[in-house]
Amino acid sequence: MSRVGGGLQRVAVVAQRAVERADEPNAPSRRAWRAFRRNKLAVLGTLMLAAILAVVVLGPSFVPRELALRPQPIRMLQPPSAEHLLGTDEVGRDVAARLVYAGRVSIPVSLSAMAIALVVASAVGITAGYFGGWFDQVAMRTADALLSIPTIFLLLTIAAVSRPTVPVLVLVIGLLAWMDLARIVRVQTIALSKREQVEAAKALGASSFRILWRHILPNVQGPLLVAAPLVAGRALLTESALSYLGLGIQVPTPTWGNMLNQAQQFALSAPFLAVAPGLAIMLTVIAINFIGDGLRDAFDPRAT
Amino acid sequence: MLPFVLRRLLSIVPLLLIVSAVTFFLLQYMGDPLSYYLQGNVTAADYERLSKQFGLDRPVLVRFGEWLLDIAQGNFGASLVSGRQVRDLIAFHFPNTLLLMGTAFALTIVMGIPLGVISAVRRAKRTDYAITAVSIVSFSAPTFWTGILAIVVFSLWTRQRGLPYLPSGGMYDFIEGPTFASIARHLVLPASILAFSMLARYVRYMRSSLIEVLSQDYIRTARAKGMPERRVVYKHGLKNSLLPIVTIIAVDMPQLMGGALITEQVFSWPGMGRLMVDHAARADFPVLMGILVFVSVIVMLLTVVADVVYTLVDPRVEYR
Repeated sequence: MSRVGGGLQRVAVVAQRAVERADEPNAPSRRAWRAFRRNKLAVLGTLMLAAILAVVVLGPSFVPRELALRPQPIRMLQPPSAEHLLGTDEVGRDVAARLVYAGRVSIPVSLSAMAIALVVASAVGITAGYFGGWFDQVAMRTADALLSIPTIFLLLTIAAVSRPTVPVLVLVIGLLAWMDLARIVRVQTIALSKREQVEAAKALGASSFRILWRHILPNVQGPLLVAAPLVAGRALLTESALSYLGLGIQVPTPTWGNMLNQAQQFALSAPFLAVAPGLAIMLTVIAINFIGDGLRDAFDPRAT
Repeated sequence: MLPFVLRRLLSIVPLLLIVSAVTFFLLQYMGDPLSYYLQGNVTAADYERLSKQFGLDRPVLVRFGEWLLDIAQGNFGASLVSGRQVRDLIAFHFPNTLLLMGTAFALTIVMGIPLGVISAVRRAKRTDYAITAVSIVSFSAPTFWTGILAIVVFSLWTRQRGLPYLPSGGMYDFIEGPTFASIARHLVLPASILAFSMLARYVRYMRSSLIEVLSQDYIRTARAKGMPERRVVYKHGLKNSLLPIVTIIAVDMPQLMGGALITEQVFSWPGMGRLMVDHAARADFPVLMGILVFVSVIVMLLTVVADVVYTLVDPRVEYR
């Protein structure tokens, strides 16, 4: 009796492993990477982003922090020169140096907001899709409601009442960016939970958590990966807009957005102030979008 | 049809409740509702008195209920800064936003759809790549940046060189007053910039929608029976590929509103966005709450309109 039991158990384990292996996204993802590498724009985007990251990460070893932060009224609003490549701003800080240090704020902010949005979106989407019921109802109605308030209006209100610190701002931007992605994950989860391997796992007595973690989550990685760059790009634009409006990250901490806030006042006397920060935002977002498009085409060859 | 419209309208109610709850509790717990008054010498006694005066000492749920009843009757309270009714402030600013959004939207459609069609018909040719490149810039450039650049080029530089120039901000000349010509002149830059920021989505969407339709069997049939290519594309292709665009419009409403807010700020356009930014900087809670709820209602209503239009223009969609 015990031998038979042990045998069944082994079959169960082997079956379980087979089921799990069938779920491993390795084979299709390798094909996707090859498609991604063949996509010229995607490669260009990756190179652009790598270059921007290199400047932002390595820049401080060449440009002292002083130059970006300490006001020097003697040399204010100077046009670009050999000494100050992109000129100086209204209190005499070096624009090029501020650009580098601003990237060290703007990029991590958008990436962390993206991470928060992805985690929330997958947690909510998977739970709502798998269990359904009241949680599904509440989560999806909340998503609908949040989607119908323009994000920037809500962010402005929050910024106005709480004067957020940078981590709080990141959290809020992330918490307002999960909704549409959660819907995609939810639909995917509903489709997956009807598949045989999930049925099999259930029949073998796997716990709900195990099913979600081992069978559902790996299979929603595709849409998450494809959406990630788009979410990051949106977060960067959101933070910049808020900082431009003067209610995001506050000066003297430089971000690409709040550099533009100052630039508008001096648009006539120093138009060069407006060019660089906007270009930095745009090039970063373009690079991110190229990568996003490349990923989408690689994972879903039918699109476009 | 009517029951469908009514049901869609009723579905707004729970959403609206969630939005109001989010707004109310956000302001209650993320900030101090009295922060506007806490400037200068405010003693603990003053604070107590103010709390009493505004009824803040009563249970939060009671106050939420009262506020809901108030806004259900369109009573948003008065601005802490100016003492004016929030309702009046919104009534003054909203038509300006609507004018800006409407013009920008018309521009987007008028430019976006032909560009998308050209892009699809000349797929993978040079024209297609050029249009795609412009779309990428439009998609990635922040409105406030393109706006500032547009002011520098079309307003400041042209003026310096004695060329005809466009106004850099505001809605009309104070001397001339709000005449049609004056408003139209002030509308050109903000509406174009807002339209440019939305252009990409419509070009890309129109392109892929038309490409998808042109790969259908009935298009092959039309070509096979010798119909001229122009007629195939414009009669059979375009007509069917326009339908999904309506859904995109509905999804885009909140984004359009958000874009309008930033554009208004860049060009000092006296709309809802400008109202919001001005009062956000001074923690004017009643105005902020009023705008948030009002804007969401507008977005939801426009979404319902787009849904209804969609079922009207596409006989294949059944309304349930």
